[in-house]
Amino acid sequence: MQIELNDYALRVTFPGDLLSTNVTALRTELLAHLDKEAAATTVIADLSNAKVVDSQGLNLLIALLRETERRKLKFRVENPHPEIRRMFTLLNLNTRFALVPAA
Amino acid sequence: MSTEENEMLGLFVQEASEHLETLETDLVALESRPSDAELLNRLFRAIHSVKGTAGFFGLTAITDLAHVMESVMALLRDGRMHATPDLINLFLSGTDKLKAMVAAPEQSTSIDTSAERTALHALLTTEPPARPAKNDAPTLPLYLSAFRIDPELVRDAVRHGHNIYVIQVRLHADIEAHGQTILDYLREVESLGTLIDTATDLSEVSGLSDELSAELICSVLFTTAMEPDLLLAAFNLPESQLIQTPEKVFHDWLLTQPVLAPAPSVATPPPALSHPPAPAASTALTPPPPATLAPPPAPAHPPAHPPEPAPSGTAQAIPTAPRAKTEETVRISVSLLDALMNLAGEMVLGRNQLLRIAASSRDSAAHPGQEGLAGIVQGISGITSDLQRTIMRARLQPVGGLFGKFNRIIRDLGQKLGKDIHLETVGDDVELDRALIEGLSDPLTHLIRNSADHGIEPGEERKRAGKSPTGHVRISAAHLAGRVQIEVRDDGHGLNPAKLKAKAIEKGLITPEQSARLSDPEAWQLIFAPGFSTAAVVSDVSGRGVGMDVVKTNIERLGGRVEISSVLGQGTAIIIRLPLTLAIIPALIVGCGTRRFAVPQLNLDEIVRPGPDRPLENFGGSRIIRLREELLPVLNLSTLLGLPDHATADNPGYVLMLKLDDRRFGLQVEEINDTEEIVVKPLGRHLQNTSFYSGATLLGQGEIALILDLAGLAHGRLPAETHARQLTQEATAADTERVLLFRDGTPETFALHIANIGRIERIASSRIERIGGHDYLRQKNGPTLRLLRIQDQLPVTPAGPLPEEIHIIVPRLVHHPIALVVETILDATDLPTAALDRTSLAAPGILGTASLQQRLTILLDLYGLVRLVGLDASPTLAATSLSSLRILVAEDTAFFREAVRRGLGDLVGTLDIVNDGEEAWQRLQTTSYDVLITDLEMPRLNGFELTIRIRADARLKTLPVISLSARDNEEFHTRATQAGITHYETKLDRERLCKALTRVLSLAV
Repeated sequence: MQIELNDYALRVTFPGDLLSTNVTALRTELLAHLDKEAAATTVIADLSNAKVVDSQGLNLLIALLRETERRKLKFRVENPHPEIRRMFTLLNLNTRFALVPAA
Repeated sequence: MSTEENEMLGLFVQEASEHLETLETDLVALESRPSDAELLNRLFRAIHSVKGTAGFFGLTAITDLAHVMESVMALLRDGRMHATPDLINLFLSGTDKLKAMVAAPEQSTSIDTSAERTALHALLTTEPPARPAKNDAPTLPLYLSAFRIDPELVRDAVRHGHNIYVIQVRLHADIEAHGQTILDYLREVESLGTLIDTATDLSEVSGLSDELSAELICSVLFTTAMEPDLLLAAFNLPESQLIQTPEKVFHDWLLTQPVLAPAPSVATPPPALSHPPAPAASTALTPPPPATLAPPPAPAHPPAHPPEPAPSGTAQAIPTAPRAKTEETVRISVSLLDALMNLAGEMVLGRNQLLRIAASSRDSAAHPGQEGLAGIVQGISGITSDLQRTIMRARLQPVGGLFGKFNRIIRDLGQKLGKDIHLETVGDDVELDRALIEGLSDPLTHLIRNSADHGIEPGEERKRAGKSPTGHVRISAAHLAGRVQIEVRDDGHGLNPAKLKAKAIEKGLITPEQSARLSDPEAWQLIFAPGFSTAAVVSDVSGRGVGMDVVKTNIERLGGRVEISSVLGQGTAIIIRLPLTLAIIPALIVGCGTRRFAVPQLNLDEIVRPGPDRPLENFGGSRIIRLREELLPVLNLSTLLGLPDHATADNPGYVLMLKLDDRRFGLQVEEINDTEEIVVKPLGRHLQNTSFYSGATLLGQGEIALILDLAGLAHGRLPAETHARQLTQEATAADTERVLLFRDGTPETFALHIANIGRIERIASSRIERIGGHDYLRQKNGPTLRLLRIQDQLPVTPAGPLPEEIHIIVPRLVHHPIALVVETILDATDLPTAALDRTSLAAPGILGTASLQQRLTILLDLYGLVRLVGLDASPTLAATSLSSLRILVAEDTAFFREAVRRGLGDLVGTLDIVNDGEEAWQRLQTTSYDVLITDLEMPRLNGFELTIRIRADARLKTLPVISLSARDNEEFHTRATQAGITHYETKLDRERLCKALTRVLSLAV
């Protein structure tokens, strides 16, 4: 997972799909970085490498949303694959997440 | 904050502001419809959306307040709490705070929302009172409260006998554990019915500290023809995860929902999830509304899934299921729309040029290879017109958005003033150009506030007057003759002319004498005078008396006008008439010499070709034309613009009969070229101060044409304003004068005041002797009378030879022996003063026209006729009385011109009024006057300079000059004395002015 802090924005680029098989490891890593990068005011979950997000992957993203709300950080999801965006829309999660499509 | 974040924040501010506007409007509506389920749903969605989007940006202050508002709103929506006025007050207060925070998100934490949050929290922790059963509208079961339900989809399902289900799906256990992906599962749901909405429960997930073991559950509301058992099998679901809602529940609920679109004749199967919506299906359901700048403030059937936020500002790229109507509208930035409008304007200009070239090609010799050109050009022309009209429509917005905000204003004012006021809005869907809507906001707000504050009486007073204690204010919009009419009407105590006059006198706007002459409609107009206020107590509600003149000015700036209608004790209506748009207008292109001008067709009534049967006539320097028994003034465009006038008697050109408000007048032009839809371009800086032009445009030939500002052209140049004339007529309606009707061998009927007639004699025409080009009558017992013929003095139809017997009319009080020759005495009758039109035919020798005994009659000025033959220099005549004085007035302000006209018009013999000192100087070169009354501050040549010129002129140096000034200070007095001004008077003091004239008269004698 690639993590970079730029202009107070912590960009988290996930290495690939968000699946039940990898979310636990990703969660631990995310938590560590959030604790470390206290200067960040915004967290960006970059999904450019993901084509699939399963229910556990969704769980991870929702947990990250909750975490940023708790820490009073801004949060958005960038570059979601069209299929992932569609899933968010159908589940009505697009009203909860700021989804920024790929340029 | 990065640029991108700024853009996103900007988008949030825009969207949240729109939601909050909706919230405010709907909260006020909720007070009268507390059980309206759709209203409650919309309110919930609005506050929910604000909360959600604010959360993305970490705007906790906004989120916290919105959250507690949402929670209480949920209780209302679920029927567990009733919307009381206090609760609505609380919500409105919260909405105000949210508005302030959204407007400046960076400072949102500095706004104190504790009072609202505490009060709302208290409601959440106490047992809510049950909703009154008798007011209950049918509501949906609680398990449906999580969904946003499109009534149209439900209506369609009920109509076709489909079942409506909620299935609860565990995303892992029910989908992924069976080897399906979530997306595939939902596609399958789509393929078996129509998905109305989904709701995913996130409450089981907390932060990252917890294990990610929660099972996410998605509830799906959808309709299908399938029976429950088949459905459960298809979705691998246990019975406990399916809820079927009885059809009757929805049937009853639908009765409370507005029907918004005609039902399709054939059920349209929903397109597959992965395909974009089929345009035909969309069109079959509802015709797409014109693109709007923003989503409608209150979408009646909200989307099952609103489009995702598009931070880049572009439309969503990924097609979504066509379940709702969101695809039929798209958000466009105002600048993009303006750019489109400009491009359409340029295209119209290009089209016009193309049409011109095509026409000239057709007219000239055959052009090989261009046989089909005309058809192609016509095709392009049609498409361009359609394109332009369509883009024009895109600029139109319903006025309902503007009207909506007045509910809150009236509600708050009602509470503040202790009045029960009900606001009714009519014609919310009437559309106006967005620029006009923006410009209307402030004036209408002022009018609404005025109605509530000054118009509507307190409840007790209304009861005493036999009225309902609830006051009514109605704001309506309607299309009327190509314009939009907006009316603000109240059922209050109406405008009291006596009070208005008293206030105007107190404020020094008018004198008691002027007040006595004002009709009721004229008195109503006083409210538009700057600084006028009738409120006994100046309040912070409707301003401080500086508003109504600004209202009028702003409306006029938008190309509109304001009228008042009021009935004492019953109410007042302020009527505003506006054009639909300001950008592209149909116009008539006319020419003077080589110049081209555009005349807005909206003002054009008809075009008249003057000829022998309808000649242009000259009266005292004014041109008039007789049109269907009406005499109308005619302005000459070339003369007005200082261009050479090529019109001749043989080729007088054309007269455009124009309508400006309630005035009609003619504009003489040399040529008429064409009609075109012209694109209004603003004038360059160097022309912006002229009142003759309202803009410029490019014509088909590539020529630039200036667009004539007809109000500016006519301003002060018509004999008088018809409106003022009507007021004068009404003011003096009760007065009549006895007149003698006669003819003089011509078709015209004339009248003379009997009071001015010394005697009438019948004589044999053979007694008339012609000496030195003039006619005389020798009398046995008196001096020889000089005889006048009307046809020799006024441009009337020439009479034939005199009959054997004629009449002579000898005027009273004219010492010079003179008489008027007339052929036939018709009658003596009463002339109502109000019926006299003093303006259409204003000229020396004529007092006006009137319709008497079904004949258009010219009322002659006997003394004026005498003066016309050069006998006016007689000191005896000049000094006889005020009624024989010839006065020239120089005044640049229309209001004061009218004031002088009314003050002196009936007292003096001749009253000529010009617009400035220069004009007065020119007039003095050709016409003789007894007195000059002049304003001191005027353009071109002021009153001081004019007097200095007069005193330096050998012929004019003894002319008495009375100055009128609004300033009564030492400096002006000194300058006036130094310039040689005879009397210094202040404006609007008719009594003092008359005394000054009397002094002048006594000096002259």
